[in-house]
Amino acid sequence: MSVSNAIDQPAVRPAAARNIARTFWQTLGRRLRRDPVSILCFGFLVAIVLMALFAPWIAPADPYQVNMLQRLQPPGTEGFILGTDELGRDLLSRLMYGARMSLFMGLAPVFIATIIGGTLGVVAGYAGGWVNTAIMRVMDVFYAFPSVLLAVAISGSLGGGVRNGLIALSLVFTPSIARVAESVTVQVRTQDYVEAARATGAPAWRILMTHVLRNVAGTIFVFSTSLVSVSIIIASGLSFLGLGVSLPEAEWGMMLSSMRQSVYLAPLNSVLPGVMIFVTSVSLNLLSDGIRSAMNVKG
Amino acid sequence: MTLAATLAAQESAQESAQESEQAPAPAVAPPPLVQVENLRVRIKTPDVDVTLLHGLNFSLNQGEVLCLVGESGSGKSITVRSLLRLLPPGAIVEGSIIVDGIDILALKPAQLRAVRGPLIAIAFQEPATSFDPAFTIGYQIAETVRAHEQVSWADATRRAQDLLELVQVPSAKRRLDAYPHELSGGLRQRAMIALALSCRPKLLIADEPTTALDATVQIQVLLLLRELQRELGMATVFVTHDVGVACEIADQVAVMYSGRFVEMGPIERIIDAPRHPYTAGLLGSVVTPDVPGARLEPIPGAPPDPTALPPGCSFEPRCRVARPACAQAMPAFTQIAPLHQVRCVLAASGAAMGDIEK
Amino acid sequence: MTILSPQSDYDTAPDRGGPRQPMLIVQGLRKHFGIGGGFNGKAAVVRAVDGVSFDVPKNKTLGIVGESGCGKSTTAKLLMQLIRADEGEIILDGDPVAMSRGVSLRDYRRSVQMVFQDSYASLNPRLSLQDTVAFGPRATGIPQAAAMRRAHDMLRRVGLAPEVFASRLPHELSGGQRQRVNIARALAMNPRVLILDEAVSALDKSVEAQVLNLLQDLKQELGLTYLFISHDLNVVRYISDRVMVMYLGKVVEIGDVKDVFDHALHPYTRGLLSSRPSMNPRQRRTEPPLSGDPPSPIDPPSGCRFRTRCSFAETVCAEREPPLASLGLDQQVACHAVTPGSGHTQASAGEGASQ
Repeated sequence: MSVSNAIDQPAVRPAAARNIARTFWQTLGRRLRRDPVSILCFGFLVAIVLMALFAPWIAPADPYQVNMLQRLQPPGTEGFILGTDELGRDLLSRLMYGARMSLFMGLAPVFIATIIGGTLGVVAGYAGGWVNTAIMRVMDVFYAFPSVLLAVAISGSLGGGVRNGLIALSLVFTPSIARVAESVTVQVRTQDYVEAARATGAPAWRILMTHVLRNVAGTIFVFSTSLVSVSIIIASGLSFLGLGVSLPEAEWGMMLSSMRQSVYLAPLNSVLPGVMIFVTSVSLNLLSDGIRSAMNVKG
Repeated sequence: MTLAATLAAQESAQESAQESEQAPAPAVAPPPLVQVENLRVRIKTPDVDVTLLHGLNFSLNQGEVLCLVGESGSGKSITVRSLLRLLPPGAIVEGSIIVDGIDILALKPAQLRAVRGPLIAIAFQEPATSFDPAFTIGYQIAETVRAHEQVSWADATRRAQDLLELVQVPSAKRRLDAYPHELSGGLRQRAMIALALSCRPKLLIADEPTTALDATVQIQVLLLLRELQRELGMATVFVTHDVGVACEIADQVAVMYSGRFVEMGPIERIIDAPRHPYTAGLLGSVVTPDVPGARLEPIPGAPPDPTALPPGCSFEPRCRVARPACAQAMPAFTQIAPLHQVRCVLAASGAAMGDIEK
Repeated sequence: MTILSPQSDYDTAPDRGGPRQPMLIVQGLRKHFGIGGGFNGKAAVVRAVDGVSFDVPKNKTLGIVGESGCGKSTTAKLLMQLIRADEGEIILDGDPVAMSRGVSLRDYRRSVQMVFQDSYASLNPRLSLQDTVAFGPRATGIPQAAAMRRAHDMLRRVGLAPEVFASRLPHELSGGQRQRVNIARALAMNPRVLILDEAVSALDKSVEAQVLNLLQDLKQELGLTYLFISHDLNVVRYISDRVMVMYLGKVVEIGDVKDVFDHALHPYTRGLLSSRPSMNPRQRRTEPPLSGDPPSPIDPPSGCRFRTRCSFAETVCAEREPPLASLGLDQQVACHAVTPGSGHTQASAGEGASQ
């Protein structure tokens, strides 16, 4: 081998001589597939989502059909697989329909908050200076209140209903997402590759889109995922207090609330909505933990 | 005869390599402090399955410095970390590591913790990994002393101060109350060496401890290490990628490539007459003051992927003097002179590398 | 070289000042960082770069050396306009930068590019190599296809075959390969000046030698001017034509690389030079040439900043700051001990301290 072509050698003989160039997402997917807990949680969530989507077709009974003669039937009763609630409505059907509202109240506010909070945080983090101070201090004011208290206060002043609950929850999650977005953006902004991009004289929006967003999106996404379960729980709490969804709409939190008087008469029936909330939020949290640790790779 | 046996026969514990060449061999040689045989390390996780060390043998007497030299990824760090079993999860270690009569690989976790410090201590490249940012330097050194010895706080703190003075930290008493971030890079590095020395280890492992330092500070730390090592009579395994650093501190050098030793011997011999083409290339890559502007002659290419090593000699694809036989089988690690071993088919011919190329 | 042909997508800015005009003239560059403020009210000032002047001839390499914290990297960032200087003027090929009549910041940035030390941190982990290299040209308005073509040309030029590497991600490369990508990215802007901030320091020696050879070739082929910042004096000696020694934000010695390395006049330069490992196990260093670390740039010593570590320090060194004085044909030194008439006891002998 001659010495003169030494300069060209690394091209011919790469140290990492793998032909399979995996993208970041492929690596992530491969790691998640090897994590049994994540797979299990993912399975649960898919089942719940399918149940919610197809509730009108698969629900065994009308969830709003009141039957005072069949009140608080235990699970396993003929015709009512999971029994009935305090007004004799089929519990399984109500849980299926309730999943729609609960999932909506879990996902929608977090989605809205991620868009708003993420944008505010990234802008604040990248711009720095007084822009950062202005945005982040406002966020801090919101952040100073406990989230449940803030949600109750906002929806209390706006009045009940799904729309106001949605607004309240979005406002509750925006500051925390903005804070996470800001801190990762500040980290990314000081990286050499952003400096190098600035050195080309590229405009700020182009650097943001190409170099910053791609590197902060993952972290923000994982954090937001972990908020979905919180959102479900707070939404349930609002319904429980009568501030969220109104009767006779099926929603897990409200079902829990309305059956709490019956907890001594039919304990199993009463805790079922709670079990659903619990399983869904635990699955979401574990899955988001799984994603977080799977993302913890170089590049 | 293995190198270990030769070393043991020729050197008494306290003498440096140069002196021992003239010194008469003692009648009964003490056993070497460190005896590593057929050390193999394999990392097996769901993501990777790769063998990083392919059977290393070496031994080290008290008071000696062995330098492991090689490019990044050659297995230097893994080798020294195996001595303390500080390996990533999924690591499978085979072979035997005996330090001062203790079989390191057979120790239970609790016993291993007891060994770390009084027997073997480690100094890293980055002091941040050794110190907790939340506690003062003095507290952390004293705490380490107390973890291994039954001494009072006052005594431990006094010992911490002595140690800082030993490693030439100026105004040591005041620095006891300093937090790690309050020290400059050079001082932090010294404080870390003090921490490593706090339990008077018999074996110090230094993993590129001067690489992050300025040349002016690096030479100070190297001189300090040399002095401490002479005074305390400890053995040192020193990892570096810088041949210049090895020249300043090593008695013996082991050149590593792709998880194997390719050449091992006294530093003077290795520098004067390297017998493995990789060693020669490594020395040729060092930019020396003598050649401004002249074209450098680096080793072409890059080290092979450890998951796909070539079938024969790992260095064959980059070797300037490779023969057809080199692609067939890995050459044996052969002794070509007392204390000097080489893993190359050409070394047996007796010529130094420079002569082969001409 | 198709890349350099006039038909290429955009060309190097023309050589306006002629070969005698220095590519870069820097005058009185100053940057102080304010830190803290705190409760005691008194904000500390880090004098990172404190009045630095030098020039770089066309197609030459100026090496900048010094210990960490001496202001080398801040100087690089100031020259890159990544941070704004408090004071000072930069003249690119005869035109003052960002002045009403001179070159615009945009054109300047295209002409001056930088290669960073940390090859991990300086590449976006989510961006393929071709996208990384093409980003700069895209940002200056070159169409996507042309920018991509240019990225491939540049990758090939630094020794990375685009067929193999163009769509790889940074973590799939070795350190040396990543540093080649960094060089390709800088070259894609078609610069005239390349600032290399510890660009080979993190590489293995054999890879370092490969990259140094590449840099030498590129300099010849593309007619580049280099500012080579490094703490490795042997490498600086190897690649530089001129060398500048910095200490705590000041230039202490500057001159032709051969003069400075063979006949260093400043005691700091000599200490720095003899701190290099001996490369001879039979003649090891026995005494550290310089003791201690450099003092903090927050509150530098009065007069000569080096005096606290200098064995020739006298009262005059604490009283007055030594100016950068010309000694020899092309060598300037800031030291009382070697400047005639400074009042230092060794100064009358002229070069007393240089023995």
